[in-house]
Amino acid sequence: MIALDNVKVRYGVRVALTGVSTTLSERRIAIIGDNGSGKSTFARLLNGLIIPTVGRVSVLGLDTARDGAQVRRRVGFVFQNPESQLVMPTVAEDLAFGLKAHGVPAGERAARVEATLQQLGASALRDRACAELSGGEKQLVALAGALVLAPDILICDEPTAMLDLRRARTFMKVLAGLPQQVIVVTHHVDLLAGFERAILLAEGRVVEDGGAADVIARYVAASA
Amino acid sequence: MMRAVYTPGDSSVHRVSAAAKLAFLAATAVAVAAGGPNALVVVAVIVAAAWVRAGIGARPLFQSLRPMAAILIAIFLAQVWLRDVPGAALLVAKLAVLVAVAALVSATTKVSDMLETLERVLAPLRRVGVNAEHVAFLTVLAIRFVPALFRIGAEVREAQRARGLERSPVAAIVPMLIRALREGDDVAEALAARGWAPR
Repeated sequence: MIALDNVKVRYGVRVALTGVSTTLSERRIAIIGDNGSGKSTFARLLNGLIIPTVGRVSVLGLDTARDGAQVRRRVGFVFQNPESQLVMPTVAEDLAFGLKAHGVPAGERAARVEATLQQLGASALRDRACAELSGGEKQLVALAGALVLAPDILICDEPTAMLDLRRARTFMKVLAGLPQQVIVVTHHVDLLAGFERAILLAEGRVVEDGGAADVIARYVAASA
Repeated sequence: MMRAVYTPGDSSVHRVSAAAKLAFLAATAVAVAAGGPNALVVVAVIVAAAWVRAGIGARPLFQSLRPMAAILIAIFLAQVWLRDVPGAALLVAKLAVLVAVAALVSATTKVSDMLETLERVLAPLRRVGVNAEHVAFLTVLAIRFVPALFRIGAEVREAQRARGLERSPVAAIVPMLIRALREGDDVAEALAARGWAPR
């Protein structure tokens, strides 16, 4: 479970997020809102990439300000642009990179890479060059890079923003089948079928929080 | 400038250790740089034979030579002006062969194997406070960024051509720098999220 207690984030004089207190325990949670509303800041708080200026974020009992490295071992993160996330030339090497960074012995890495690619139906990509993959394949490999570390929670920041509608749907179907708690920041509100809860942000504040269908319907109506 | 990436295979060239291939790369660089036309011919024949043996096709070679073509032509013309045609041809041939050797090594060696070799080679430097793991990884990361920089450069040039600014170096360099720095920040954030952190 994730708990945010009176969280405020400030970049210089600009307040990106303020007055956020909530607990996140549902299996599928969507974070929605307009550009600049604080969604990406919210997502980065959840694995300690951003530390609150005021308040506290607790993930599975760990304080993100104090135990950032431990938090990131338990919380996987998929970014909007997979280009930034893929650091090694081939898919298998990229997945093994994360395992090495976490101190997984060399003998175990190949088996875990293979198992993760199989889980995502992506075994055929194992020896492909990351630079030559399509956008959808790159995002799938970025997801595999997070999942190979066996996280308890997965955070995705606009994972479908660079994908066409068909690949975006495929990606969201893959997310739907994962056993982990999944928190997705997205503009693609039409792809959130099956999500239990949605949090709507505006100007750095939580303005709606409730059942996903209701919150999304009100957001879409207000945006029309 | 290397753009060739690992081409999977099980040839005898693929099976040679990364350490041996890196040593071969260093030895051929010295032989080609210090030797004359005879040394160049010997290295070229060895590389051509190894290339055929590796069974990786000509694509990695073209991927590596194509971005170098303009630079090689410029060097050739400058050398013709400064020296003579045979001298210019020899220098350009040496550079082309060195690119081919590097392309052969990168196309038949996994980067992860190179990384582990570099870590082993740099390990003694730990005694003087150098983190071998980080130096090796940053070397690999620099190689990884080469195609990304080519992509950014191509996108920026296309955008500036669309605005009629193809003759303005500032219009190309400034957005390229900004995008490269931003991509660097994004990669740093992604590395932190994946558990890689300075120790």
